[in-house]
Amino acid sequence: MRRVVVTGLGVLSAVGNTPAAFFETLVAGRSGIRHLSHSFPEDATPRLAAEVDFHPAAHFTPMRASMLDRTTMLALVAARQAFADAGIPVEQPEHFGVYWGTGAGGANTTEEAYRGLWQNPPGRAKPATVVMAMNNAAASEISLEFGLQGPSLTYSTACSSAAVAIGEAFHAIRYGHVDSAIAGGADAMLTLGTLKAWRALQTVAREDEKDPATSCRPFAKDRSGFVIGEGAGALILEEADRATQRGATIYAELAGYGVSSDAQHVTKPSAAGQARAISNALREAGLTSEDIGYVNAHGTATAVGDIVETVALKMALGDGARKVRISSTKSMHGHLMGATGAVEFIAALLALRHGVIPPTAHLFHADPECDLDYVPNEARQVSGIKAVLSSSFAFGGNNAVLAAKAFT
Amino acid sequence: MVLGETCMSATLETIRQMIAEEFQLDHAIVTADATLESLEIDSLSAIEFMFLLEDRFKIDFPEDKAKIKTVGDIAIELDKAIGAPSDERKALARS
Repeated sequence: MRRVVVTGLGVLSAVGNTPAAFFETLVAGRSGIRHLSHSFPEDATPRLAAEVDFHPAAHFTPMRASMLDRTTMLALVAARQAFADAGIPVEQPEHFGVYWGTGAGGANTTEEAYRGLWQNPPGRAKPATVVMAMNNAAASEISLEFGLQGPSLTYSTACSSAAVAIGEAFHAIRYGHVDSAIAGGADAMLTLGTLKAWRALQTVAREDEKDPATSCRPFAKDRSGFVIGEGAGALILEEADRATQRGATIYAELAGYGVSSDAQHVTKPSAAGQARAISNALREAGLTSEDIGYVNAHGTATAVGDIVETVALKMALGDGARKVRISSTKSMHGHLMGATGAVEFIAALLALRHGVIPPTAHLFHADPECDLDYVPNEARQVSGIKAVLSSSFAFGGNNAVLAAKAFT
Repeated sequence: MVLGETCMSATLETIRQMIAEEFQLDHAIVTADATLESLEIDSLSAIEFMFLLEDRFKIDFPEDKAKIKTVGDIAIELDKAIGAPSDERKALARS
């Protein structure tokens, strides 16, 4: 069985537009949540969001930018970072794959097209609408830009999309289907329609009027949901021997991937389903709960979700659940939807590398039903972390967990 | 004829500037004879560019317009379209 390592990272998020800036901000406990930078003509209510400070003109010609959805632009810029970080040459393009996650694909393009058609009948759509809006736009553009001729695949499993994409890329390398891959996810759905739809579902955080940045409070007694974010996370994965031979800097070994379905309810999570995904990831990685130094939790700060996840961790890790440090960085970078599994796995990898656990921010009031160590408010230095987990649990009941360990 | 040539040259210069700006190309290489292919403007980008022109000049290009190969071809189509009232103008005229 081949081993798989991570050799390059890229991040665009509300808390930083490089992996280093992203992790520094998380460790400092600073939130990127604020009011959206623009309002909508139809509804000027200020809205909380975790928005990326992104200027297309810095990365694309005007014509190119006009033909790419924001999701795809974020994906491409994160991919460029990951390739530059890995310094990997594409010598055998047919053995290099793209495994990408997205929840909503080109949401901005779709909404703009509909807005134009409904508001100005008979109306018309931009000629590039179809290729901008399609869910596989980001994966396609990454394969085009870097000349990658292996599989170019898109995974859309709601909030676990990027974790599934990374896990499937890991298996593709492990079982010899490809030698290298770029994996991750992107989403940019801060549109009026999407924001309204999420609010209607009553999973979005109530705004703290005094300090909006603290509105998302995972595992806290006064939690009220998540804040919708946007962004992209990209990772270069390689077969370990090749990475070692070319002298690559290795962040960690991606050693396990557990995926399961609840088959219970479309929105209500199942502790048993989540626990199976965690256990499967541990088993594949050859790790026990004692080896896990940190779990980057899904931690969406919903009333039900955080309790179910706490129960799932206890089911899967047993007594080890009491010792492991757990945090939800969504408190700061928001919920990046189809990208969240990638940026949170990157947070876990950097915690492993630097021996620093980013906190769960805004955890001021403990909930007796969430009784594990969630690393409240302050980052924690920890020596000798051997392995980490990152969990992503999605609407529809899909659960995906990634396990990484220090490469030796 | 002279008037036509003047219009053509003004339109051509507008198109050259727009292409240079939108695709971030050196203005000097965006000549009337330059093919879109030689400027690495693919067919989808060309269609999007024509759409941009329709928006900016409030015109409609006919569905059966001649095949566009060069920068000069775009200027010719734009001059033709500006000469013909667009649906939007017709609508304004009616209102």
